[in-house]
This record gives sequence, structure tokens and C-alpha cells, in this order.
Amino acid sequence: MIVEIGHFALILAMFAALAQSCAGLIGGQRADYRFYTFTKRATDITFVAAAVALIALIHAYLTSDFSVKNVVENSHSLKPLIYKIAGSWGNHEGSMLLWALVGAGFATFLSHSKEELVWTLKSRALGVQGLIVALVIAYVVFASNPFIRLPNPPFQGNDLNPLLQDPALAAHPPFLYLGYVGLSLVYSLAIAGLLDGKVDAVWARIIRPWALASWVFLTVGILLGAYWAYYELGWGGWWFWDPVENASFMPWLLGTALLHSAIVTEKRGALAAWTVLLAILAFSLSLLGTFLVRSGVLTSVHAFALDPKRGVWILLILALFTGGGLLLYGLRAGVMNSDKGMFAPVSRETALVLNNLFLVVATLTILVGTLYPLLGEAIYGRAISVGAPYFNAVFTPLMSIILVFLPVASFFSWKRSKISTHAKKLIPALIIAIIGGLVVAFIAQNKPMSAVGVSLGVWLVLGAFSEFLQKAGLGKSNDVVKRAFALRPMYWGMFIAHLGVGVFVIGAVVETSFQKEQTFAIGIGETVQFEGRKITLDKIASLEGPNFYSDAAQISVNDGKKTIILNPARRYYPAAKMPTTEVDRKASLFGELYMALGEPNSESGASKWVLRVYFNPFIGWIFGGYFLIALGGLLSLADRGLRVAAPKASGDIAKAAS
Amino acid sequence: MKKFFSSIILLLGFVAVNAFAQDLDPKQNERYNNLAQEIRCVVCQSEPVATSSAKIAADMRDVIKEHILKGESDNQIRKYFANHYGEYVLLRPQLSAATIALWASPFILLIMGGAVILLLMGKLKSTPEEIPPESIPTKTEEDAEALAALKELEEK
Repeated sequence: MIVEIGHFALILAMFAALAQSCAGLIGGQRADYRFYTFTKRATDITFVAAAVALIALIHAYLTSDFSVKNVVENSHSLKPLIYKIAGSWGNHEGSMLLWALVGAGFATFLSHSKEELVWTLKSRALGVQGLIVALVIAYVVFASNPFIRLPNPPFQGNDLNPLLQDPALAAHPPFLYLGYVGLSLVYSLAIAGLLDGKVDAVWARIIRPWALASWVFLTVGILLGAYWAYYELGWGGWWFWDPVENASFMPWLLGTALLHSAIVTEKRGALAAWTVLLAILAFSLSLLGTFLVRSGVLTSVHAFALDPKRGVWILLILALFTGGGLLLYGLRAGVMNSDKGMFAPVSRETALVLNNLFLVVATLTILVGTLYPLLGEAIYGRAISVGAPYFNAVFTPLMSIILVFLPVASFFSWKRSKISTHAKKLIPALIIAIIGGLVVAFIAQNKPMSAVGVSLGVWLVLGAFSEFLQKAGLGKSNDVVKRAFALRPMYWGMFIAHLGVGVFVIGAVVETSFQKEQTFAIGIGETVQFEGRKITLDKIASLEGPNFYSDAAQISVNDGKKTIILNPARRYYPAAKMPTTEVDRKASLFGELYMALGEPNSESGASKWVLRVYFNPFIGWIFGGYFLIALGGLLSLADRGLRVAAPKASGDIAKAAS
Repeated sequence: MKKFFSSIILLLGFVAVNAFAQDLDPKQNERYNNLAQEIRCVVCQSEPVATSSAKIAADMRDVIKEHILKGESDNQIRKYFANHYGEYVLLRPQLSAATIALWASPFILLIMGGAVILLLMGKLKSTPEEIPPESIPTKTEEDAEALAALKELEEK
């Protein structure tokens, strides 16, 4: 019964979203407040109805209702509670339902936000968002319905892919979707701006918090995914340039570009047309990502529930919103010709334009690399693989170039700047960075690129500090610390995020260059040597979990001073017929000891276990750096200046704010 | 059950430790590690043989080692794999007529983007040196008014 209520609510949400769409667009077009009021009510109904639908699905998972096909395919009565809840969106149908709910949720937030002065823009944005949500729900209802009942329900379900039964991965899809779908609202606001004929500083000010929020969500989502890959897949890696990872990384990169260009539009009234284009493309790429992941066009380790028929649906939605958006963009090019803000070649504007150039080229490079196997097949009839070595070879240099300039560019002022006046403030940072690089070059003589990479990371970290302390009045005032804390959250955000980039670079370079890995075959009671440590397999215990069996090892590691115990394990999930590796890790100041237990191996008579041991130096810096980037975004979001309602005298504010 | 359990794991799990491990000197070992990242495991989904747990990936890793020990160059080894399993097996596509567009795309995109920016900036105004700093508006009365309005809003 509850499943049917959910099913009904879903269809209701679809019609409510359609009503929201029509009323919103008409309300904006005719500047009729009655339609606007109507679309706001419809937005609330869409959201509530979509929420009821998801809650009904979660209820079916919680009660293990195996008369529902989706529950049978993705759940098991013995599965722990948290994964029953997360399992409802850990599959294709449920995840698309979550997509629709988040889309409706963003619309509701916008509808209740305080920016009433620009209500025609809001009305149109709700209209566009309504159309997106309506089409996604239509797709769920007609092509991937999670509420389908089975005529002959089985007694037990097939269980969720055990790799996905993990706390980080329970939270990974919601965050990623909050990011992806948040970009849909930025897209809606961009289209609304085009329709409204006003794409200016006020518009930029309205979209920026939404862009920032979705970008923060996307950052956290990617971080959770990378962290999960690191400890769950048992390979000691955290980024594989897998098509699905690329699908989330491309909107993130474009989102990063969008944040930077929106600053220029907001503060200087320039680059408006460019910002709109980025808003359209960022959402298009998140749709494209959804298409690539769900259609199975590209094989990927993440692929689940593939169905070419579904691909066609998503492709149509993608074509409509990308094509429609770009068409409107072309038709309305005139309204954006407000790019009056003049700037000299050396200025903050130029720096941000270059930032955008590199971020967009990097994004397109990843796009070309991700899609190239399809092109190769279609045009040349050859099966070509494009993998991590390619992406590392092209992406890393592109990003390095732009990152070298980051500390210098962050000193630039608007309109016109001089390199020479700022150069001396960065000399200490430059010297320390070079020393850092030399130290690495001395330690690892055969790895010149690692030295360059570490140097770059140190340069970024110290550059961020230099710029921030400068802002706090270093050299001019005695209480720099006090003044630093008095700075607006926006500046703190910029500082922390740029600092995070540096921390990440150091971590990534050190980890990839100096990771140590060795595989052992080890019997119980035996000891092996690894990087100055004695590793002993004490025992293997067979345990039974709620829905798995486990072989857990007890391994003592002696580094000459003290002994620590690690417990890597292997699990076997009988319902899903899959083994998983449960690694165990021990972090120390400079890195992390990481162990993955392999299978028992009795070929040579005595029973041995395969044990993969890694030392991952500075791994915490990678995730820590990425976390700082997200934190920086969050701090910027907390800035009140971003959230004040845009006043009518819009153009002036833009100038004043500079 | 236990036996079934371990046989499944044997089938799907990590595959044996390498017999050749000791024979590579540090430099060869580094080449081996890089090549293992570049050769795709043929039964997996977009995974290099370096990380794959499939049996065939382990065999392919051994083949890489054998060829390094034979004294072949990285390119010879890549070619060997491409001939045996098809171009598909190379995660870093070789430069050829079919992949030239792939390898050139970053450069072309960067040059095109740079050219567009230069063009637009040139259009925005002729030479920046001609504009003395004073002529760029900084603070007018309007700005002051707007600033006051902004302050008011922020205080709210």
C-alpha cells in the first residue's frame, strides 16, 4: 500500500512540476504576479510529493518488501539498517528518484529565498527548473520505475553490491547529486536571465551562492568517492581516471571556472556572457555524466543496471537542455553585451580569464579523452583505450601551468595591476619553494618531476599565506592575527581553498612518487620485512557478520621501537556472491601503512596468505587538501555579503563592490 | 562451505606473488611498474594490469617482466601487447593517424582559446598603455551612493 502511495506521489510530482514549469514561465513572461504565486505553490507540492515517493521507497527497503522488484534486486533482509536506507538510492532507479527530489528541493529553496525584488527572474527560473524536474520524473516513471511490483515475490533479495555497503559510499551519491542538481538550478537561473534579458552583476550575485553551494557539495561528493576508492578497493589508489570519475570531475572543473568568472561578473560587470555559457555547459556536463554512467556506452567499474533504452531517454533530455540552452544563448547574445568593465592586461580580470581558459581546456581535454574510445570506434573502426596514463600526461601539465601563476595572480587588483609591486612580497615563498624542491631532488635523485611538483605545492601553500597575511596588514600593523580574524569569511574562504590546492598538490606528488608496495605470501606465525618493519601474521580468525563471512587477520608490525596490530580482512557476501577486501590502515606523521589481505594460497603445500602491504606517504594531505578546498567554499558561502538581497540599483552596486 | 568459500576467493581474489620479483633491478622495476599501469587488463573494466586481481592480469604482469628481463625497450613491449591483444590493451594510446586528434586536442584547444581571448581583449580596447590610470573610473558619486546602499543592506 505504501509503495502505491509512493508511486502515486511520484506521478503527482510529475504533474505538479509541469504546472510549476508552465506557470513559472508565463508568470515571468507576462510579469504576472498571480502566476508567480501559483508556481511557488506548485514548487512546494512537487517537492513534498517527490519526498513522499522517496520515503515510500525507503520504507519498502526498511521492511524488506520483496514484492517490489527494485528491493529484490538491491537489498537483503539481513543487510544493516544504514545500507537499507542508502540502498534505496544506491541503484539506478532510486538514484534517479533522488535526483528528481534534490532538483525539486533546490527549486523550493529558491522559491522561499528572499530575493523578491527580482521575482520575474525567479519565476522563470522556477519554470525552467520545473521542466527539468518534470522530465526527470517522467523518465523515472516510464523508463526506470522503482515501484514496480513482482507477480511472484521471492523470499529473499539479491543484496546490494557489497562494495557499496560502506558509510562513505552511503553518503557519496547524495552529495554528488546535490552538486550535480545544484548546477541544474544555476542553469535554470542562467536561462531565466537570458529570457529576462538581464544578465548583469545582480544576476551574477544571485547565482553565485547557488553555484558555490553546488560546487561545495560536488567537492565533498568527489572527496567521499575518492576516499572510498582508497580504502575499499584495496589498491592503495584514490583516483583512477575512470569514465565515471571523469563524469563527476568535469562539472567540478567547470564549476570551479564558473565560480571564478562569476566573481568578475559580480564585482566588475564583465564576462557576463562567458559566465552564462559556463552555467549552461556545467549543467550539460553533469547531464552528460549521468548519460555516460547510466547508458553503459562506456564501460566502467561503477556501472550498474545498464540499459541502452534508458540511455536514449537521458540523451534526449541532454539534447533538449544543452541544445535548447545554447540556442537561446545564441539568440539572446544581444542582452549580454553589457561587458563594459575595462581592464588592463595585467589585472585580476585577466588572471581570472586565464584561470578560466585553462580550467575549460582541461575540462574539454578530459571530455575528449573520455569520449575518444567512442570516436575511435565510430570513425576509425578501431578499439582504442584512453586511460590514466593519458590523462596524467595531459592534465597534469595543463594544471601545473595555471597553478604556478596562482599565488602571483591572487595579489593582483582589479582593473590594473603591476607585477613588480607584488613580486617582492612573494620572494620568501619562492625561495622556500625552491629549497623544498632541491631537498626532494637531493633525497630522490632519479625523480626530477617529483621535486618540481613538491616545489609547486610549497609555492602554492606559502603563496596563499603571503597573500592572506598581506590582506591582514602584514608589515603595516602590529596585530596581524587579530586583523586576520576580522577579515570577511569570503577572504578566509579564498585563503583556505587556495591553501588546500597547495596541500593537495604536495600530497598527490609525494604519494604517487614515493608510494611503496610489496606483495607477500605469508604463513601463520611467519615474519616478513617491509621498509624497515617486521610484519608478522599472528592468526586468521573466521567470523560471521550480519550478511557476510569474514577471514580477519591479526598482523603485528614492529618498527624497532613499538609493535602495533593491524586487522585486514576478506569478506564474502553469499547473497551477492562477491568477495571484498577490508583493508586496515595505520597512519603516522608522514604517511600511512596500508594492508590488504588476499586469498589463502596452498599451492606450495603449506597454507599461505597473500598480503599486499603499502606505505602511502602524505596520503592524508591529499584528502586533507581536498577537504580544505571544500571548507574554503563553505566559508565563502557563509559570507553575508553574498546573501544580501540584490537591490534595484544593480549596476551601481557592482561598481561599488569593486 | 568453507571450501567453497575459499575456492571462490581463489578464483576472484588476488593472484599469486610474482616469481620474478627479485630479478629486476630498481630501474627495471620502475619501468615495470609504469608499464603495468599502461597495459589494460583484458577481462576487466577499464583497469590496468597493475591493480587487477584477475588471473590473466597476473599473467600479463609476468609477461611484462619477462620482456624487460630480455632487454626489450618499453616501446617494444607496448608493441608486443598491441600485436597480441590489439591496440585496445594500451591505456596510453600510441601516436597514430587514429589518435593524433586525441593527443593534439589539448594544444589545439589551448591555442584556440588563447587566440579568442587575445582577439576579444584587443576588441575591448586598443592599447592599454594609452589609458592613464586616472581615466579608469574608480570612485564616482554614484559609486559612493551605491556603497552606502550596500553597507545598509549588510547591516540589516
